[in-house]
Amino acid sequence: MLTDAQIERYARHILLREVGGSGQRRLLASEVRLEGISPEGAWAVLYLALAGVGRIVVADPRPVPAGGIPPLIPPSQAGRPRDAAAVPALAAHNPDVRLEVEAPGTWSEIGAVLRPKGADLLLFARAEGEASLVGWAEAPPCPACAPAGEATPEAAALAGSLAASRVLGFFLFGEAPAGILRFEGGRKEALAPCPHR
Amino acid sequence: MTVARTVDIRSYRCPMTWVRVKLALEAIAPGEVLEVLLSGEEPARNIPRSAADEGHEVLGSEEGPEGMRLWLRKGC
Ligand SMILES: [Zn+2]
Repeated sequence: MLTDAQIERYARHILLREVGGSGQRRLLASEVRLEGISPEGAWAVLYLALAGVGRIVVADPRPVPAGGIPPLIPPSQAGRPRDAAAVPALAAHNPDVRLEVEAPGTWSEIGAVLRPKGADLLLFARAEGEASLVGWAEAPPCPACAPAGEATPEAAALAGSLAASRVLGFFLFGEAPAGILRFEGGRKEALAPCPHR
Repeated sequence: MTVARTVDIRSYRCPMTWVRVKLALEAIAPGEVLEVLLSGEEPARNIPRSAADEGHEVLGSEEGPEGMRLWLRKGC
């Protein structure tokens, strides 16, 4: 059963016909692992925590860069391990979520990888220039297929929010269609599967 | 008419009034009747409309000293 505080907190979800109280209880019973607290990962995990995903495990011991990792980790946390800094930041947004650092963990050097419990595929999210890449795959694309490079904050935010909505779609409806999509300038195209993995 | 469950929303404001009714409807089976105890104009207008929008049947209502009683039959 949802507590009074949870009914207040998730009222917007409960009002949605597709979610309701039963969907919210499903989210609260679900679990996801984030590998890679990049800007894409920070956006995704923040949305998932706000949505009330019940247990979130984070893994990424790389130090927080000087500017922090917007919108989740402030510059004051620079130098701390990203996963350790993410836990109190997420807890401040939603005390319902059980948070954990996986150590020693594996993390993605490129973008972010989300592993919802129960899914056969992983969800990959990455910003590249002004493009956002998001989708379900058996493995993240290799560096040749998803080259490292600067990305705009807007592209990272979009990749993260699209990733979060896909994870919620999996928890609520069991949907996880294979294939990575590339969104850029209002266009959407399927990315050729990485043949190197 | 057998009432399967009663929900008292007199102490809530919009949108929590409908949130509480929606949760109460989720807790009963299709075809069962939910009794809603409400007060004020806003829920008296909006709860029957929201319920009908989501496929539930508005069976009727009755004014009483403690507020209005509204009966909804849960849809499929
Ligand atoms: Zn490749």
